[in-house]
Amino acid sequence: MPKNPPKTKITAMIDWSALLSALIVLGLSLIISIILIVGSQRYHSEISEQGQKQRRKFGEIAYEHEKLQKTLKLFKEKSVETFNQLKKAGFFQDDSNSTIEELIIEHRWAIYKEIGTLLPQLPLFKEASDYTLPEKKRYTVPDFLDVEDQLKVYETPISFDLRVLHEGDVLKSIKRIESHLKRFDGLFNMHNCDIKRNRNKFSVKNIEKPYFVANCVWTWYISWIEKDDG
Amino acid sequence: MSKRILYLSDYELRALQAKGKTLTEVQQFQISRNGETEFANYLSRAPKTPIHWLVDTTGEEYHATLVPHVLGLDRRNLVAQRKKRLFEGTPYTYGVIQGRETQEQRKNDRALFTALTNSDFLQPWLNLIIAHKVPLVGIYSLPLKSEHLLKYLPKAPYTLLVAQAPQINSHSLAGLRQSFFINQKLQYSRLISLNTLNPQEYAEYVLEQITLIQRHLERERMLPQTGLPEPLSVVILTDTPLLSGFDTLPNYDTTALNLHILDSREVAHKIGLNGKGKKGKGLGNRRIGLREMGSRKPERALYLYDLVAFQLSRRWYTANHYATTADIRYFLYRKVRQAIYFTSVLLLSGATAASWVTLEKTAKLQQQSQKNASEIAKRQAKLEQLRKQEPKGLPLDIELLSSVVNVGRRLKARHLSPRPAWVKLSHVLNRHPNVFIERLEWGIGHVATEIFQSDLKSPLEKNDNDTEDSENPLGKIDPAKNFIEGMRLHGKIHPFKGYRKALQSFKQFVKDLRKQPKDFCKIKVLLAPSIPTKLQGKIGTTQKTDKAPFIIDILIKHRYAKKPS
Repeated sequence: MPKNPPKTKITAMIDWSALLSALIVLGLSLIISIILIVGSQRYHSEISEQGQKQRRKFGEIAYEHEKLQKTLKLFKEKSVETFNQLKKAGFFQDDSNSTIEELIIEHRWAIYKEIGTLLPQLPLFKEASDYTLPEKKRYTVPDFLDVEDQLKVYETPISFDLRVLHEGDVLKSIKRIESHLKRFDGLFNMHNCDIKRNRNKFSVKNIEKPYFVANCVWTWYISWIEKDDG
Repeated sequence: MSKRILYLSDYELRALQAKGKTLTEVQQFQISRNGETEFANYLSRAPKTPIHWLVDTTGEEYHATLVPHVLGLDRRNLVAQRKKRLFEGTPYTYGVIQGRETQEQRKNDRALFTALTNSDFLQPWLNLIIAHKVPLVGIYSLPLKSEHLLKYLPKAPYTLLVAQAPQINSHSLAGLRQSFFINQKLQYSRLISLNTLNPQEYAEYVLEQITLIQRHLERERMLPQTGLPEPLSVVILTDTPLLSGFDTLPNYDTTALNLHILDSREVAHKIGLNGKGKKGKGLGNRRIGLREMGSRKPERALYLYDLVAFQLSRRWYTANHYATTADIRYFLYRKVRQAIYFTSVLLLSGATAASWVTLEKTAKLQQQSQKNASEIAKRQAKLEQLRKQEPKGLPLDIELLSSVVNVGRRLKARHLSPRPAWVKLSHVLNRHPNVFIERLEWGIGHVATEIFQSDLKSPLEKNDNDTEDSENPLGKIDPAKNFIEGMRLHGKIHPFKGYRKALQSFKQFVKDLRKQPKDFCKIKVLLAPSIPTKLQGKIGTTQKTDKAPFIIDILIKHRYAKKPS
C-alpha cells in the first residue's frame, strides 16, 4: 500500500493567497454578523431593561395608588371609626409595655373573678352551677378576609354550667352575664347554649332541686399586632 | 453563463467559449514559444474563469479488459493498480468500469483504461495555467467524451464513429478520429492524419480506413468471432462540403456495413448547438453557431470536438479524466472560496435576519414602553390628585387597620342573643300544650357540628332534595356572607293518646313553625313520632309504647352585617 504523504507537506502545498480574499470576506462577515447580533441584542436588552424599570415604577405607583385608594375607601366606609370603636371595646390591643400573654392573663383573671362575684347574684342553684375559662387559642381567620399575617386574633371560650328552677331564669342569667362581660376588653359572643330539662313535672312543693340545666358558652376575642423582631 | 473550453491536439491549442447555444472559437495557439506567450496573455485576461480541457491526441492509449467484480475501495484499488501496471511513467491515466460481462460465467466487470502516453505536450500549457492560477476543472479525453454524443446517433450494440478532426500535424490537412463503442461505451479509438479534402478522395479514404479498423477490431477480438447479429454500425460525421463524396462509391461494397453518413451540422443542430443546418447531405448554412472572433473569414469546418465541447459546456458536472489533484488545485481553491463566500453570505443573512427579528421585538417593546410611560404619567397624575385627598395621621398602617376592621366587623356581626328566637319559639309552643320540649340546643356557626352538640344528621350536611322542606330552602351557605343560628328541639307529644293523635299534633306543630315568615328559614324534622318498626312484647310485662319522641332542627340564616355606607 502506498504511504500517505505527511500532512505538513499537504499544508505546505496550499496556496493561501488563493483563499485569502475569501477568508477576509468570511472574517469581515463574521465581524459584521457579531456586531449585528450583539448590537441588536444589547439594544433589545437595554429597551427591555427600560421596560422592566417602567413596570417596577408602574407597580410602585399602582401599589401606592391602591393603598391610597384603600385609605380613602376606609374613610368612606367609616372604617377608621369602626377601628376606633373596636379599639375602645378592647378588641384591638396595642399596649407597648406588655405582651399579649400578659394582657390575656390579666384580663382572664379579672373575668374569672368578676364571674365568680356575679354568679351568686343570679337566680341559680349556686352549689350546682359552675364556670370554666380554659387557655386561649389562636382564632383561625378565614382566608377570604385578607388579613395581614402580623395581626393575631385569640379566642378563649367561657363555659357556664347553670342549674335553674325555671327556663326564664336562663334568659335572665344570660342577660346579666352579657352585661357584665361587656365591662372587659374584647368582644364576647355567645356561641352556643344547651338547655336540658331535669325533671318532667313541675311542682311548687319540690323546688329544692333544679328543673333545668343550661350549658352556655361565650367566646372572648382579642387581637394584637405581632411586631417583627428584625 | 459562459464556459471556457480548451481543445488541445498534437498540432495546436484552441480556446473556445460556450455561451447559451453558441460555441465560439476565441483564439488558436501554435505549439511554439510564441503560442505559449499568446496563451499566457490570453490567460492573464481572464484568470478567474475555469477551464475545461479537451485532449485529442494520437498519444492516447486504450485498454479494454475484464477485471474481477469487486466494489467500493477494492474496486478503486484494483483500478489504480491496473492503471499503474498498464501505463508506467505517465501521471495522466484513467480507468473506468463500464459494466458487467453477461456472457462470461464469472461475470467479470468490463473496464477501460486509458492514458496520455506523451504528457510532454500537455506540460507547457498546464504550467502556464497553474502559473496564472487559473482554475482547471479537468482534462478530458475527446473519444471518451464522445460517448455522450451517441444518444443523438443511430443506436446499435457495436458502433464505429468516424469523424473529422482538425489538422493533427504540419504534414496533414486534417485528422480522422475513429472510435469504437460497445453498448455506447468506448473500447478503442485512433486518430490518423487526413491528407485530402477532395470529397471523392475523402470518402474513399474514410471507407478504406473503416475496413482497416474493422479488421483490427476482429483481430483484437473486440468484435465477436461468431459474427455479428447485425452489421457493424458505422456512423460517419462529415462536414457538409465533404458529404457529396459519399454519393457514389463504386469501388466499395458497403452492404456488409450498416453505414450512416451524417452531416455534422445536422447533429450539431440536434444537440442544440445554434444553427440552421439542413437535413441530409446538403451543405446548408455554414454558420452553425461557430465563428472565429474578430474574423470575417468564411466559417471553418465543424469537427467532432466542436460537438463534444458543446456537450461538455451543457453539463453541470463532468467526471475528470486525466487532471491530477495538483493540476486542479486552483479549481478546488475556487470551490473552497465559493463555499466560504456562500458561508459568509449565509452568516450575514442569518445575522441580519436574527438582528431584524430582535429589532422588530425591540420596536414592539419600545412602543409598549412609550405606552407604559404615558400610562405611568396618567397614573402619577391620578396619584397626585389622590394625595391631595389623603387623610393624615392614621392610627395604624392602612393594611393592618383594614385587617383589624375586617375581623372585628365579622365577629361583631356574630354577636347574637338567643332571646328573639326563643321568644318566637315559645309563642308557637304556647299554642301546642301537648308538645313537650325536653332539650333545646342553640348555637351559631356555618355547619351543624359547629352549632349543635348532639351528633345527629342535620340538613346542613344533607343534599337539599327533600321535598318536605322545599318551601323554605336554606340554600348553600357562603361563609363569607352568611352564618346560621340554629335550634335543635328534642321533645315528645305528652300526654300520649295514641300514635294517630300524637302524629296529628306533631304535624300541626311543625306546620305552625313553618308559618313564621322569613325567620325560621328551614325546619327539618330529624325524628317524627311514629310506631316502632318492630313491636315485640313479653307476657306478664307492661308494654312501654306510650312515647312519641321527635327532633326538629330550626335554622335561621343571618348575613354578616353590611359595611356602613
